[in-house]
Order: sequence, then structure tokens, then C-alpha cells
Amino acid sequence: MQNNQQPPPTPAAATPAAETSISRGIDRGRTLKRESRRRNLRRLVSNRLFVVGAVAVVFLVAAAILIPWFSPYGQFDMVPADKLRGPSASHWLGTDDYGRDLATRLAYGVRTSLGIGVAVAVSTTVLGAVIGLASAWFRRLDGVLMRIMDGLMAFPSILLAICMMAAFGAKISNVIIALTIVFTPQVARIVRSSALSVKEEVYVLAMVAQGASSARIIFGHLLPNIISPIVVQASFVFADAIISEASLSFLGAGVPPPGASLGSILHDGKILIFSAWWIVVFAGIAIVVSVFGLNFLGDGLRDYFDPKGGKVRVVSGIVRGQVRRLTGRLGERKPIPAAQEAVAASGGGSNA
Amino acid sequence: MPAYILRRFAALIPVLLTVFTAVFLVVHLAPGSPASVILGQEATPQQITQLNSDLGLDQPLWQQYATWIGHAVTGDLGQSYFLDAPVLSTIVDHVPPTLSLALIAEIIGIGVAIPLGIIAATRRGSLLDRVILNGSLVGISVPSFLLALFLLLVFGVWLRVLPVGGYEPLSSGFFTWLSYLILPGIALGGMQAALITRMARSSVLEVLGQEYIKVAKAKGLRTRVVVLKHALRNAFLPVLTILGQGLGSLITGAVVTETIFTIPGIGTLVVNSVLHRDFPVVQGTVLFTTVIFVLVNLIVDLLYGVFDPRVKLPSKR
Repeated sequence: MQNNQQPPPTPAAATPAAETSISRGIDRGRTLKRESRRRNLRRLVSNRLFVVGAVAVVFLVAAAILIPWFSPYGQFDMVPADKLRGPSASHWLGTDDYGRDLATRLAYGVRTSLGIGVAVAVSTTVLGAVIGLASAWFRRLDGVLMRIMDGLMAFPSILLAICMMAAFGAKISNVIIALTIVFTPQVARIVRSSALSVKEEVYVLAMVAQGASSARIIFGHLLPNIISPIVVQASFVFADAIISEASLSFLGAGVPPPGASLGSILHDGKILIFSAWWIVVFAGIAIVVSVFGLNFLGDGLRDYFDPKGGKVRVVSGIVRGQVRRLTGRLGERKPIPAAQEAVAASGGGSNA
Repeated sequence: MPAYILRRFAALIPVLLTVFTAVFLVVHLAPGSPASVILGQEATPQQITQLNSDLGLDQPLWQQYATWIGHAVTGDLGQSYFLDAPVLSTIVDHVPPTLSLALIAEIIGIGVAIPLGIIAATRRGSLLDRVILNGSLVGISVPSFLLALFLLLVFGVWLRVLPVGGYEPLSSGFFTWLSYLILPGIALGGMQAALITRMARSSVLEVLGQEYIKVAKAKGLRTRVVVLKHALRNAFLPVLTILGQGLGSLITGAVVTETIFTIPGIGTLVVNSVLHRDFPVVQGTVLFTTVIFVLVNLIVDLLYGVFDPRVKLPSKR
């Protein structure tokens, strides 16, 4: 009240000062961001799990690319005279019952499995993101979409995949479709819940108030802000897809013969387990290395993108995906009170 | 509480409807008619048309759907194409081996995991703790079918101390029954154990930092009493969550583990009927298993209230 005696600052006088302070603030923000990015990168490289995972994945990819190049054998080259030979100088990892070189077959198997994993991870992520964002933004769709996702999640994953493989036949493309349908709901759920919390942020409300279109808000603001949980989830879907593909092919409902995938090689190895132990052992090691590698990589990425969640996980040993669920409200950011405040303020304003 | 339970059951209806619809659509949109599957390659078009109308497959899709749902909810899952028996009784025949396997796996999982989790938590940071933590990480990453194959290789093929496959019912003696189930049980329980160990460790650690534990210690109670009586009960809730969620991986694992050890359970039934394209059995088994899965998850959810009375709060809303 007393301050009324002083003249209010004119806009012309305030602007330059405000501008410098804003630009100083932006500079400071940029420096902080750069610093934190560098710090995160250091943390990523010093995260032993991440490094181990990255090394494992690079090793596998290199083997999958290089072995067929250098190997004197093709993946379907049958040499009956050499059948069921143990590891030796000419066949490093031995041969199978058709006399095919196991190392070469495994390299092609890794290619197939990683290829299926990438395809499933990408298609699941895109589909899950679309469904999750749609149900977070358009509340009318939410009920229907989420009930369908719940229904699909109710299936034990391998059963749904098997059911689809039975119906559509054993083919690589069908494996990818079946696994995409199986894994999409979990991505959609995570995208939806992340998008819901971003949706309540004040800057999104501001966009709505400015009359921005739904597409602009969803792709310009919601999606960029939830990209890190999506990336982390994609890496886990990748690993899960490799295991599921291996299970399906192992059961004879995945990659059909004579094609090689880690699961189908293991399937052949199981039949020959009494006479040729090396097939099961080496195929098993290849699967373990790929799954380990991808899971560790995913953990490292999670630490990188979500330092708090990652820390909780490493310190207390909570299994992936559990942190949010268990810590519940504690782990949540606090957009809701702020948003409610904004809504209340705007509501109050219009009433007055 | 009863109102809460009812609400939870009501919430299952859309989920189950989706499940029914998905199973129906997958099988009915499949290329190739069931009639040609049953009759084989050499069937004449007349025979196929005849069988299609016998099976009711010439009716509109929605009508087939309505009929199928009507039958399914009353427990009539149709007739197997190849086994010459109703689907439901076929499934019921295959339940005991799977149930035995799941039971053993669960006992191994919990029996190993909870003590390990407690030991790791009470000796946090020690070598033992690190060994348990890293071991459980390995356990989580190794799929159960791989563990099964390695166990089979070591104990069945190399050491020859346990049968490599098959199943004997409990009526032929406890130890015979157990000898057939112990390897698959370990294979299946391994991943469960790894998950539960980590969860038990972290939740016991969290509880041990609480004030009431300090009070219990200050009262002069022995550490064992404090851990087992005060900490464990409160640490059990997250473990229960994992148990419920683990059921899915248990079922998935059972399908593969049964195939490896040739146990005549639900998993083997599903895989064989997939390979024979015996659609009613595939459909029925998937439906049956999923309904059980959903119901058990609901029961686990409701059990929270037993372990932690605070969870009953939702009914008061």
C-alpha cells in the first residue's frame, strides 16, 4: 500500500534489464545442462554394468557380422562325413547332425535373433507410443484402449504368441508380429503414465490455453519429454523379444528350419543332447550373453536418463520396473499441485 | 471389504471379454479352414463344405462368436480335432503334472529366496551380500529353458543321477514323484528365486531402517526375533507383488520346461496342439490358463489386505 507513492517502473526502463537477466539465465541454464550432460555421460561410462553390457553387445554384433565373412563354411553347407564332430581346429564350436559348422550357424542365428529383437523393439515402441499417447491425451479413447491393453496383458506372454503362431504359421514375419502384439501393452502403459504426468505440467496447460493443436502438443511437447522412459523400455523389450523368440523357436513355433535362430539351434541341440553337448552349451552361452548384454545396457541407460530411479535400483537391488510401483508417490515428481494451482487460478480468474 | 472384492471382480469382466475375443479372433482369422486341417490335403471341396457346416463354421462370424462365448462361459470348450475328447476334460487331465511342477518351483523359489534375501539384507555390503546380489542378477538373466537344458545335461546326461524326463504321479511314491520334478522344479524356480531374493533383500533393508525396529532392538529383543517377527512381516508385501507377477513367468516357463522334460502337463498339451493345429485345444488351453492367471493375480491383490490391514482402505471410499 505504501509503495503506491513510488512511480511504477515503466516498461521501457524494465526491458533491457529484464533482457540481460533473461539471457544470462538462458546462458546459465545452457551451461548447467551441458555440465549435467557431461556428468551423466561420465556416470554412464563409469557404470560397470553398462560397460559390460555394451562390450557384450558389440562382441555379439561383431561376431555375427565377421564370422560368416571369414568362415570357410556357409550356414546351410552340409558335410555328412563331418556330422556331430566336437569342437576342433577346423570346426571351432563343432558341427551339428547335418555336418553344418556350428560357429557359422550361430553367427547367422545371432543375426536372425538380433534382427527379430530390433524389429520387435522398434515396432513395439512406435505402436506403444501411439497408443499410450492417444489414451493419455484423448480421454475418451483411454477407457477402451486401456481395457484392450489390460486384456492383452492378462495373457501369459508366450501363450498368446504361441496361439498366434499356431494360427498364422511359423514364419519370421509372424514371429515379429506376434511378439509386437505381446509386448505393445507394457510399452503403451508406461508411455501413458509418463505422458499423463507431463500433461499436467504448466507448460502444457499454457499450450492448451494458447489454442495449440493436439498434434502439436503431443509431438512437440509430450513425446520429447517422455522419450527417456521409452528408450529404456525399448532396450528391455529388445532383450525380452530375444528370449521369447528363442522360446518360440525352441518349441518349434518360431523361425522354421532350415533357417537358424538361437532358439532353433537350441531346439536341434536338445534333440541331440545325448550325443552332442556342444550345441546346447554354445547356443545357450550365445543367448545368455545377448540377454545379459542387453539387460545391462538397459540398466545403464536407465541410470543415465533417470539418475534417481537408477540409484534406488542399484542401491536397494529392486528389480527393473518395480521402482516406480513400489515407491509410488514418493518417487513421483510434483507436477500435479502446480497444475492444480494453475487450474484453480484460471478458474478463479474467470469467475471474477 | 466385500464391496471392494465385488468391484475387483467387476473390473475383471472387460479384461476377460478382451481375452475371449482375442483368442477367438486369432483362431478364426487364421488362414486355412479347420476343416482342411482335420481332413488333410486330399479332401474334396464337398467334404470340406460338409464338415464346415457340421462344425457351424459357415455361420456369420458374430454368430459363431456368440455361440462360442455362450459355450465357453458354461465350461464347454468344444471337441478336440485329434484327441477325440472334450477340450475341458483333456485340459483337466493335464493339470496335475503342471500343478505339481508349479508347486515344487514355488517352494524352491520361496524356500531359497527368502532366507537368502534376509541374509543379504542383514549383512549388507559384505562379500556374502555381493555374491547373493550378483548371483540373483545372473538368475534373472538366464531364461528358465536354458537353465533346464543345463541341468538336464549335467544331472541327466553326464552324472546320470536323475531321470531326464517323464512324470510319475504322487500315488507312485513321494520320492519317485519328486525325482521326476526336482530338475524341472529348480529350472522353473530359479528365476523366481532370483527375483524374490532381490525383492526380499531390498524390502527387509527398508524395514530395518524404521523406527519400530529400533524400538524393538531397544527393548532388548534378540536380532533373530526382530528380523523374523517384526521386519519380515512388514517386508512381505513387495515380495507378494513379485510372487503374483512371477506367476506369468512361471506359466511361460512351465510351457517350455515341460517340453524339455517331457512332462505331460498343460504346456506340453499346448505345444503339441499347436504343432498339430488342433485349434479348439489351443484356444481352450490358452483361455483356461489365462483365466487362472487373472484370478490368481486378483487373489494376490486381495491378500495384501491380510498382510497389511492398511490396504483395506479402498472399501471406505
